[in-house]
Amino acid sequence: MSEHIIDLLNITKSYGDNEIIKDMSLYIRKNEFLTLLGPSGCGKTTTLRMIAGFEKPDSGKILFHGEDIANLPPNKRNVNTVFQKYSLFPHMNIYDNIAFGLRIKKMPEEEIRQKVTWALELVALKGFEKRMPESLSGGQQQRIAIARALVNEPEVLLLDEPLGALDLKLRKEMQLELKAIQQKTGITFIYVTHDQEEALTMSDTIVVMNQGVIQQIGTPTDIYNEPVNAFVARFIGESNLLSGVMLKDRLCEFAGKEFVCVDTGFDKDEDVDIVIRPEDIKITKPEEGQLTGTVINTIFKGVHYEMIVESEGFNWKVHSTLATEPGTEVGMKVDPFDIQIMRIPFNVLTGWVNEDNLVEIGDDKFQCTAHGFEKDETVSVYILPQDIEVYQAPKAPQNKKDKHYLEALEAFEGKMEEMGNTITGEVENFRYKGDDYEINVKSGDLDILVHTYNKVSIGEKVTLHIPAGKIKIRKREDPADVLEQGE
Amino acid sequence: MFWNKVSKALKATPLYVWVIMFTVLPLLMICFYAFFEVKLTGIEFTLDYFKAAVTNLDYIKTMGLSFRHAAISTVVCLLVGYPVAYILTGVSERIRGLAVVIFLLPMWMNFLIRTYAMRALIEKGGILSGVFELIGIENGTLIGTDAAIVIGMVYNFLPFMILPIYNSLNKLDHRLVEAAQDLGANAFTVFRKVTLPLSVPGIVSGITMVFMPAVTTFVIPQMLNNKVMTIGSLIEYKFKQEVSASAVSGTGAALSMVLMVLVIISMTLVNKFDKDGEGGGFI
Repeated sequence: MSEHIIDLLNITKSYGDNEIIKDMSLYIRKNEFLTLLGPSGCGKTTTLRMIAGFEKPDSGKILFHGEDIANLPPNKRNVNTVFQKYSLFPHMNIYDNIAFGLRIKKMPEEEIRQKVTWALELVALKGFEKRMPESLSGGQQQRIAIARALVNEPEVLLLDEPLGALDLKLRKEMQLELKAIQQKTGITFIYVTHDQEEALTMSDTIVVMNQGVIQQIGTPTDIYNEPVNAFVARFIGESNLLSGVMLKDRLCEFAGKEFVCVDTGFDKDEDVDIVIRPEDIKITKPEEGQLTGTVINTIFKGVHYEMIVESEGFNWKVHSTLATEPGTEVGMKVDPFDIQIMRIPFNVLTGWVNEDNLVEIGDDKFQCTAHGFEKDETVSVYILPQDIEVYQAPKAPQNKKDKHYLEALEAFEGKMEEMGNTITGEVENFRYKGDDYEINVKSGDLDILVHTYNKVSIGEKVTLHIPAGKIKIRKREDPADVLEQGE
Repeated sequence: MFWNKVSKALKATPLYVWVIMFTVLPLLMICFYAFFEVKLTGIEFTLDYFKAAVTNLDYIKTMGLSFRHAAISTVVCLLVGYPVAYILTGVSERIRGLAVVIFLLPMWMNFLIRTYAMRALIEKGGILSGVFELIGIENGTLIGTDAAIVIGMVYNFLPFMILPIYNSLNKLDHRLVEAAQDLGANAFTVFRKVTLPLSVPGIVSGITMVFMPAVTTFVIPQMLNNKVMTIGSLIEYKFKQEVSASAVSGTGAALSMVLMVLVIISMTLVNKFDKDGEGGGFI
């Protein structure tokens, strides 16, 4: 292992009430190409801007060679940034743009000239010295921006979605070019993108982020082949995501069948998420398959065919180089090592301890088992998606004033109140996972992941009941023991 | 196609009428009076007025003085206006709205009233008289000094300097500032190498909008320092004097044209600094 160049230690950052980064720790090794990958709003750009010095963390440390630089202004840091929109100085020609940083360092003009020439050669734009930025194409401007940053020979180069504004073909070329430049110069690259393919192509290490929390850190192969949770699996590549049960070591059950797998270390009968990549499913004759189903759709995708096969009520996505006519009965086989078993992630919510055994989440109060906290202490609340029960109000008839409906509604609301420990929200989306549904429920600012057998529709108002025994409360600082799981 | 063009042309008619009536015709008339003499015997071409306008030493002195006053006022406006505009872009939205209103509020009043108010401040026995006496200014008044003219002009024209500069600073892409910081520039270098050059268009329009009215104004000097004659006053005087003598002023017209040419030349020079021509300058 090579040495750490940057260490992020317990970083938090909020804008107003909006928590962007939640207690994030990460290290970056010298000479590596590290990518922060995640959907927009996941905190990846904020992380980059904190390393560059444009934002200060609310708490936590940013170590650069072991020294805390969290409060150092950007011009005092030995890092340079390539911005998403190039940000070339419009009033300077290409030469002056690239020479900007060197002139601030008061380097002799002759040396500057050599370095600028070197940088322009590196990005294959020699001879552009006298041109103005606006006369260059987007791709050329971005290469100049890269040259302008690299010419300062920073220890770390930060790239904020630098290829976002380019068209597909140019983007692919630039990906390879960037990787080549990184290998040639040996500078540590920290790259931010929401494009999973870009991340897989270029990176040594990928950090997958969601809602301010690191989901997984690993090599592209690790992240693709062994996603740790449903979010990563869905975000990286295409996948079949199912609910399953771990019967014992190396044996799991999903889609109503038992499968041999290679995973160990789960509890007996633990609920898990199962991921199978479309290209890992082999189409066989019906009698030879572990599963049988009917092809309902086949699309030609260039290199392969993408088929949808219905089996056990689940639509399987399968990639195959051979086309199969829709309506054909087929069998499907999966090798044990192609079955990826994932623990189900906790919902992590912020709560306030009201009094012993009573915690406030959002606007609602919940009974739980929590001792030894101070009153009004802010805590992290951990709830497993499968522990949450979903209750649906009676369906409203055409006539909203219908007597039977109003009675039923009243009875439902009474029942919910009596039961307690409930929170209401709206279904944002749902996915069928072969056995049950995975749904996202939005309640105020909270986004709660729930596994349920109930059939719900998007936009539907639901009441969630969280049994007191299933709520785990932890102090804000040490979520580690819960995340280790196994409880 | 043809009717389309006709209809477009018709829609622009009010504009044409306006331009012809209030710009083209007056200019032609000034030209006419500058080069022709109307006599009982007919119209005669003459270069006498022009000769007088460019050779009379008093006229030239007056013109030089006016340009000097205007230049000093413009520089003072720039030195005061730029920092104000710069600070305005940095403050929070609410304060900014308030501050802009405070700077614009005097503009909602007639500038004669504003100048009278200024006069009341600095005249003998005026509000600031005591202060002036204390710091040893003669008679305790600024009225009748060059300083009075400059103060009066700065007071009247400052907003025309602040607004264009504020606009160009406000338009400045903050990411460029971040890029400069990222490349190692401290606050001063960022200002010198990025903020200032990129606000040149605003500076150019500010200078244009202050300098041109400052050169030609005659009310402010007359009210604050009636000892000196400025070019504006001179032209006014020439027109008044000769009109009352029932002849149209050829000298006044010739002086106006010379002044116009000089202003155009100076503004062209200033505009050379604004390479992109984005500043909404004069030319």
